[in-house]
This record gives sequence, C-alpha cells and structure tokens, in this order.
Amino acid sequence: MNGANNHHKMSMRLANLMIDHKFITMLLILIPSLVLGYALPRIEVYSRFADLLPQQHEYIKNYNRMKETFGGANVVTMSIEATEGDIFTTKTLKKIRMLTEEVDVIQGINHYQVASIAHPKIRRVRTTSSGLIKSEPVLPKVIPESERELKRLREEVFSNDIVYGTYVSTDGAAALILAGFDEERLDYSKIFKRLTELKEEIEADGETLLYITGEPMLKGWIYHHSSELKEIFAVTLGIIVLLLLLHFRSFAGVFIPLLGTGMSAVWGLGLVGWLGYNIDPLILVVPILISARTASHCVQIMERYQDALREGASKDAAVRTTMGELMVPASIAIFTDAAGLMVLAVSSVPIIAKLGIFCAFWSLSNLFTVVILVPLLLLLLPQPVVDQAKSSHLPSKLMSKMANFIVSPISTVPVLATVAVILIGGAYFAKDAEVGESTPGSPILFQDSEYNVAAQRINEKFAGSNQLSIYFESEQAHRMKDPEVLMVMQEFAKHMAGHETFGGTREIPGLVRSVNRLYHFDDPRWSIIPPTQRDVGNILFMYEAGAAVPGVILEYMDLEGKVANVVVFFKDATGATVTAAIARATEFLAAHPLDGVTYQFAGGIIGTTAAGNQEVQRSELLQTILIMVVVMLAVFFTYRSATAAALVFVVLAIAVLVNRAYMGMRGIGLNINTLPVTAVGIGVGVDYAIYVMDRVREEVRDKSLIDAIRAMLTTTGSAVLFTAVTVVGGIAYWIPGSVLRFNSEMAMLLSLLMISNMIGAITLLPWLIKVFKPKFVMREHREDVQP
Amino acid sequence: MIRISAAWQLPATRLAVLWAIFAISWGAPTLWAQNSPDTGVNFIRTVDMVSAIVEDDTGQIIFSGKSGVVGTLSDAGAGMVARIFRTDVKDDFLVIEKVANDIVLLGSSKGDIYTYQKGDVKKIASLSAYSEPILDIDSHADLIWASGGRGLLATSTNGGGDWTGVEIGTVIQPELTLPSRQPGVWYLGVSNIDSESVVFNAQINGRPAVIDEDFELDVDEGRLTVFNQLDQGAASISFRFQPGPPYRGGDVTWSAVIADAGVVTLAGEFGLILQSTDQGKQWVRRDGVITREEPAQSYWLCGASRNGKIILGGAAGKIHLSSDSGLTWEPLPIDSQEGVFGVDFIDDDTPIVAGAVGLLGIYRGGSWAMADRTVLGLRSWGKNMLQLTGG
Repeated sequence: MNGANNHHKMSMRLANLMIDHKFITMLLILIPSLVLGYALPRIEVYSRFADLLPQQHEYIKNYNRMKETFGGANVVTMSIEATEGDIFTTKTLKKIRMLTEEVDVIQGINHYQVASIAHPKIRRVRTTSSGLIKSEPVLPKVIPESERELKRLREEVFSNDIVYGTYVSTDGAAALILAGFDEERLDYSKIFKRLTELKEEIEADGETLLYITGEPMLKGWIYHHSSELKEIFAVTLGIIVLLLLLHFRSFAGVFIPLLGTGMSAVWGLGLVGWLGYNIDPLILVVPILISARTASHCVQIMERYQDALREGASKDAAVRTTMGELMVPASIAIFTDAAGLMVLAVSSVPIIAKLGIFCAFWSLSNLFTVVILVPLLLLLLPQPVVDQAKSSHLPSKLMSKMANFIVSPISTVPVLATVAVILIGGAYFAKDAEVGESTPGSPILFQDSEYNVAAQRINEKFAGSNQLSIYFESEQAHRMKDPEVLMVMQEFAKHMAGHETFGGTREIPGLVRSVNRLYHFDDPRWSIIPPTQRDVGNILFMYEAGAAVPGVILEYMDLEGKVANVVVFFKDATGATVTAAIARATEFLAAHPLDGVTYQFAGGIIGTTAAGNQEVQRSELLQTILIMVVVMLAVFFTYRSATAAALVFVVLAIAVLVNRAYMGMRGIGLNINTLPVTAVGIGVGVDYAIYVMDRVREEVRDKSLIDAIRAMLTTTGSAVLFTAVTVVGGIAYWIPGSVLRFNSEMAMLLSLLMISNMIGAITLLPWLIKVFKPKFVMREHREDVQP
Repeated sequence: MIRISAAWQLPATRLAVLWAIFAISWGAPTLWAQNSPDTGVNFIRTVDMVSAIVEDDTGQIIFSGKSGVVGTLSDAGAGMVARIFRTDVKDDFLVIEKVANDIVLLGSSKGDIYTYQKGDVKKIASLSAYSEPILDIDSHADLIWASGGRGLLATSTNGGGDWTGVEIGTVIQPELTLPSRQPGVWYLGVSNIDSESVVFNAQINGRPAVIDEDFELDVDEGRLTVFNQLDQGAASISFRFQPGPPYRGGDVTWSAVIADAGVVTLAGEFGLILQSTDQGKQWVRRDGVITREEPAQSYWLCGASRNGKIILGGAAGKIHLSSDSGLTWEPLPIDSQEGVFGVDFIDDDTPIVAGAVGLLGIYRGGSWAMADRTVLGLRSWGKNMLQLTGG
C-alpha cells in the first residue's frame, strides 16, 4: 500500500463522513460565513499614499521622519498655459491667483506646500539705491492692467532666479502651481472633483489651458474611473454565467459555481472588514482573479460530478466519488494558491502585505466554500440531466482531438518546437522587463490620457516636477550652515546635473548665494557662499526674518540647522531615471564623507519610488522563489515525488517567463501595483497541473498510460480548457473595456497567463508524463493491466 | 567640445555694425549641450559666467564663473562654440582681467589670485586673510590693482606674483560748500571723521563760527548741526575721515578699481569714490555733497574709463560720469531701478551699460536709448560687454 493510496482512502473516508452529516457540516460552514459576512458593510474602497510605501525600507523610514519638517511627496502640480502669447495678461494672472487661492482651501491641503507666483511666500526681493531691501510678492496685490506694467512684470519675473523656469516656464507661456496634500486618508474624489471644476473654469474662455498631475490627481483619476467597475463587473458576470450555462446547460451548473464564488468572497471580504483594511481600487483586479479561480475549482467539481453521473453512478455515489477523488488535488491546489498569496504578506509595502493576508485567507476559504460546500449542495439539488456522450461539448470535442494528438508519436516535434519558441521568444522579450515605471507619466493610465498628456506637457515646460530629497543630518546644531557642508551640497548638485533628465536643484548653497547677492545690492559677484558659519547663519536668518510667511526656511533646513533637505528635480520618474538618480547620489556621497554629517536617503517622489522599486526588486525575486518553493514542496510531500515537483516547476517557470516577456514587450514596469497581480498570476497554472497529474494517476490504475492520458484529457483536460476559457472570458472584457491602462494590461497579462498555463497543462505536461513515465504516476498502475 | 545654443545680438543698427556686443549673461539662459555620462544623450546644462575678456591674438572670449569655471567662446559662424576647462578649483572666479605682458589674472571669491594660460589655471597669491572676495582687477602699465570686500585693496608690479596690501588710512575730503546759511542739520555723507582735521569755514555775526556754540559736529555719524544763521558768503567744511560705517572705519567693499595713467579710482559702498595719484599712499574723496536729508548713498558696482572719462554704474540704476578724470561727476539718470552691472564706452566716448532684468542702454544726445528687453528676449542679466575682433 503506497502513500498516495492512503491519501485516497483518507479523503474518501472524510468525504463520506461529511456527506453523512451534511447538515452539521453545512452549519459549520454557515456560522463562520455569517460572522465574516457581518463585517462586509465596514469595507471601504479608498487609497492611502502611505500604503504604497515600503514602511520598513530605510528610505521610507527617513522620509517619514523628515516629512514633518520638509513636507511630503503627495503633491499636485498644475500648469496654467496660455493658448496664445504668454501668461502676462491681466486675465491670466487673475486666473493664477484664483487657482492658488482656491487650491489652498481644498480639504487635506498642506498650506506650507502651496506655491506659485501668486502665493505670498514667493517673493521678489530687490534693493533700492540706498540699500533698503524690499521684499514684495512676485504678483502685486493689485494685478497690473496697463501694457507697460505687464511688460515690466514680465521682465522682472524673467530675471528672478527663484521664479524663472521654476514657477514660470522659460518661454513665459505657462505658470506652475504646486499644492502638497496630507498623506493620511484623503477624499481623492473630492479633490479630483474640485480640481476638475477649477480646470473647467479656467479653460472656459479658451484662452488658457490647465494641466494637472501629481499623486493625488492620479488617485482622483483612478477613483473617477472606478465607476466603470460596475459596468465591467456586470459584463464579467454576464460572460461567466453565459459560459457556464452553455457548458452545463443546467441551473445547477450556473448556480453552484456562483454560490461557491460568492461564499468565498464573503469569507475573504469579511476578513477585510474585521481587520479594518481598506481596498485600493487599483488592486481590485486581484480579488476578481481569485474569484475566477474559485469558479474554476467549482467547475472542476461540477465536471467530475457529471463524469461520475455519466459513468452511471447515482447522485449520492457521484457526489461521494467527486468529493473523495478531488479532495486531495483540490486541497493541494487551494493550499498552493493560498501559500503563494501568503508570500505577499512578507512585503513591507502595506498595500501588498494586506492584500497577501486577506487574499490568502480568501483563497484558503475555498477548502470550505468549494471543496466541501459545493458537493453538499449538489447533493441537495436535483440530479441534473447529463449528456451521456459528452462529446457534444465543444471542449470535449477539442480535447478528444488533442488527446489523440498528444498520445501519438508525431506530437514530440510540435510540442518541443512550441516550448522552444516560448522559451526563446520569452527570454528575448523578458530582458526588457524593468523595475519601476517604463514611461514618463503614469503607466496606470494610457499615454494619451488627460493625466499623462498633462504630465508630459508640464515636464516639457518646467524643470521637472519629480523631486529627489537627500537629507544631510548632524547631531550638532547649525552644522548645516557650515561652508564646508555647503560646499559638498553644491558639488553634489553639480554632480547630479550630469543626468539627462536633471531639471534643477533646491539647496542651501543656492539660497545662500541668492540672499547674499540681494544683500549686496544684487551684485552678481556677491552670489557667493560666505567663508564662515556665522556669516552663512546671518544670511539664513535674514531670509527667514524677512519672509512674508513664517517657516520659509523649512524648505531647505530645520530651524536648528541640524538637518538639510537637498532637492534635485527630474523630468520623469521612470525606473531608469530613478535608478540612475540614486546611483549618482550614492556614488558622490560615498566619495565625499563629512565629519559628523550623515547622508540620509531619500524623499520626494523619486526617493519614495526608489524605495518602492528596490522593495519590488527584492520582493519580486524572493516572492517568485518562495512561491515556487512552497508549491513544489506541497506537490513533493503530497505525491512524495521529486518528479512531480519538477513537472510543476516546468509549468511555473514557463508562466514566469511568459509573464516577464509580456511586461517587457508592452513596457509594463514591475512596481508596487503590478507586483501582486503578477505574483498571483504566476500561481494560476499550478491548479491545472495538479488536477491533470492527479487525474492521470487516478486513470492509470485501470488503464494503460496512453489511455489514462487520453481519458484525463477528455475529462479533466476538458474541464481545464473550459475553466481557462471561463476565467479569461471573465476578465477579457477589462482589456477593451477599462479606461485604466493598468486594468486593461493586467487583464491581458492574466489572460495570457491563463491561456499559457492551460496550454502547458494539457499539452506539455501530458507529453512529459507520456515520455518520462514518472514513478509517482506509474506506481498507481495495477500490475494486471497492460502498461 | 560643447556648442552654445542660445546667445543674443543687438539688431542691425550702427551699434551692432561697430560692436558685436556680447553681453554674457549671469544667470539662467546660458544654455549648453553636454553628453550625459550615464546615457551618452545630449542635454542642456546651464553655466554661470560672471566675468569675461577678449583674447587679442585669437579673438576668442575667455570667461570665468562659479565653482571654478573657466572657459573660452569662439566664433564658429552660425554660433559660438564654448569650451570649459577642467580645474580643481571649487571657489568662484568673480573677475578675469588681462594685465601687462598678456598675463591673464583671475580673482576668486576667497581672495585668491590665479593665472590663466591656455586652459591652465594656477593659484599664485592670496590677498585676504579673511577670505574676502576679489571683485575687480585693473592695471595700467606694470601696476596692477585688485579690490574687493571689506576694504580689500592690493597692488602688484610683477604680473600678480607678489602683492602689497594697500591700507586706506584717512581720506581727504576737499572743501565742501554748505548749500544754505540757514541753521539746521547737515549730512556730510561719510562717517568716522577725524575731529582734529575739521576746518569749518563760516562766519556768524562777523566772527568765525565757534564749535559747541554755533555748530556741533557728530564725527562718528558725519552730521553737522548749525545752531545760528550764518553770515553772507560761502560757508564750507573740509576734513579727513576713515571710509566705512560708523565705528568700523576701513570696512568698505570696493566693487570697482579703475587704473589710469597717474591716477587710480576706487568706487564701492556708501557712495564713495576715492582717487589716489601716488599709488595709494594718499586718497581724496570725489563727488562729495552736503545734504539736509540723510543721504541715499549710491552703491557703486562697476566702472570704466576711456580718454579721461570715467563712468560708474551702481545699484538701482545709478550712473555717474566724469569727463575730467574723476575730479567732478554728473549723474546720467536712466529710466530704470535695476542694478547696473557693467559699464563701458563705445566710439571712444559714448557710454553703454548693461544690468539686471536685461537692462541694456546707450547714452546718445543727452539721453539713454534703452534696448527693448522683451523684443530682444533678454531674460537675464547682462554684465560684460566685449568688443570682438573685426569690429
């Protein structure tokens, strides 16, 4: 008696026990369902900027510590652009003022992070002939109306270092407005709505355009498009119902998979409610995928049940056979699904960790809501009328032909050639897959989306809205005023300018030079760093004391002079730029140590993205390996076979390759949003492989290997084909239907994964079993039967 | 090699025919293309140029700027080709000047003197114990003058290798005439007056004015208070003083030094214009006035001389011209409140100025003709005006 037989007998005994006490069993499932379902109303779908950051990453720890002083990275960037001429018209200047004032009253705004030429803190400082320093707002209180005054203002702005190229584009055609928001829970819909209203108001006369980018606006767009989810969900459900109906042609065939999927969702989402998690709209595709996989488990059970009925079994016997036969493979498949998802929980990115925890639980719930509940429900429902021949089903017809092909000697060349094409093609495209964003703007939206057009336009007009903050930190007060430290900051800024997407810097040396010049009657030669710490301190004090609003120095350093914020602007935040920026900064600072000063990486959108990318890079490798190891170990211990684990590895490896190849081909960066989707997607194929291997083992008991493979392909293979079609059918509408590029691309990616896994499971896997005749399969074979 | 991608020239006027004025901007719009070491892709980079000269033999411009920048600009037909030399210097080069024997000197923000020769920059002297910046260098024959912050003034007679500090002790204030006989307070425009040197030449009721009885002089603040009405006839005052703010004699920034045959002119803070005819042993104040109101003193930023004429440019659009080698001065009011950072002469005696907010003007027929900054697209400050070879 071998181990696998023991498993079989145990699962049969367990199935019989539960079927014999079906109402108690159902009650035991119903109670937790009710408890979990109670928390469903607590679920909230919203996004939190901090959830996207790897909180254990050194950069984020530093960023979190520093953002209290220097502000966060959750910033909206707006550009008012004149459709003709420049912004120096009374009407346009009034619009700039109006917009600046209006964004300053949006809920969640950080008032210290609002800036534009119309904001009182952005000044024009000049000296009179008698040496009096006059600090005035760049935009006068009374906006000029005469041509002469407007021309004068234009010239002043063009010669103002603080404003030129930063808040007004170098051609004078656009003005920049910055607005920082808090990072805790924000009503992004409200922010988006208000900004959209302002955009309409500003563009109403056709004389100006308003471009808006930044994380809060991106979130706003995602929320805005979330309304499409209802439509997509409805279409998805409709497609699945239609496919189930066409396949099973019975009420039970539709009702049971939907009920199983629904119950499973209650468990998964119920846990979300109890744990107080939020659901980010961007990861909704993952629960959809889990639901699709739940449905596929249900279909496997339904298929097996109908096969048993077709073989002449009674309803009760068919349910017992189905439950007993599928308990092991379904449990392994579900366990591996859940384990793969649980791997995500090791991430330090809260959104991924939360996703891993509740999705693993959701997936694990299938053991109860599918493996146990579905057979019991079948027992309660009337016995369906099944097509005895089954050959009338399209999947069966196709799989019958496939079976004949796979078991024939001529299959070797086509199967190996296909695998070779996938491996070579996959490797070719996979090399282009990169960590981080691959294009400027947001990959979540299409390139021609309003948001990405705005991002592109703003980057064309201004120095760059993507900031990298490097913090210089010392225990010693006033150390940041030391000329020695300033010199390193200055050289650092020069060094960073060597990158092609460099846009500019904001650092203490630049400020000191600027203020020093102003206090020497604007003489350009006095744009120098004074030789002593005391002189530098005096200049910074004068800057702070002379400002219209308190705290202007906090853009540069803390009040004690212990920490400085050196900001480098870049034109985009693509993976390549982020990596190069961090590498350049690291290289320079490592070569220029300062006594008593530590260099802390990194804030701004570049710094936080770098942390995210590094975490993704680390997690991606770790998670892929962990998922593979967990899955292979589960298969190894179940079948006590290294060959079984190796076969699963082949399927998984192909899935990983296809995944990477598609991302490389489509230019989809691996980031915090795409990582969980790809991680979940990789494990999809395992289900099919396990069902296929288990069915061959089952069939080979009484048949030759060739016949067992043929039988598997026409039964389980048919179910695999159908479930893959069902899942793909369920998510395929996202591809053309979603306005969000992210959802569309992820749906495409997952569809490809499903199809490639399905093809691998019904072609390569049976071919490998046929060729290698693995022991874990053949030991089930009865000796009295022709092998 | 890098290629300049933006520069401007005056429109085709006589001015442009005679002079190709290349106002090297200090600030943003000096754009350069450079290869990125990361990717090899060309991108635009900004370099600040603070001072510039024309090299006689090659006709190319040599410029200096922040963070040790030294480079050349040469005409390449369609534009100008720029080349920046690598130096290890981190300080800013605030002034570049050609002196005798074709030696090119650079003055730094830390008070150091460097020589430039065909792309090679070498430090040869330090002028300031307190790292005060060198703001100007000028020479006549073999005598080189360098001036700078907080009273920095030095001379060299061997091409900049050795320097002698020049201490301005007390300055002679030639006789100043009081504008009115009425009693009241008068401001002398200087501080730190040597009380022993004061000569107040005035009569009251037929007798010489008596200190403490008829008048009072605050020597620290430079304030004369006359208690009684003065007699008919000119009343005047002369004295010696230490230039600088009250109680801090000598603490004056000398922004401009102009060396001519037999006379050197210094201009800087507190509206001071000083001249010396004995290589700095004795100094005389020029352009002094007595006012009823506390004077709004000029802050001179730059100067130039040609054929006995001297022009000074200062903060807030102040421009003064002397046609008698600095003995007397007249204001040339300009319709601008911007700082004047560069002054020079064209056609031997026609003043031309450049400054903040794209200020650019030429003085003809008793008034300033200003360039239209918007039309010319002047988006930064002009400073150095250079005559290129070939006119």
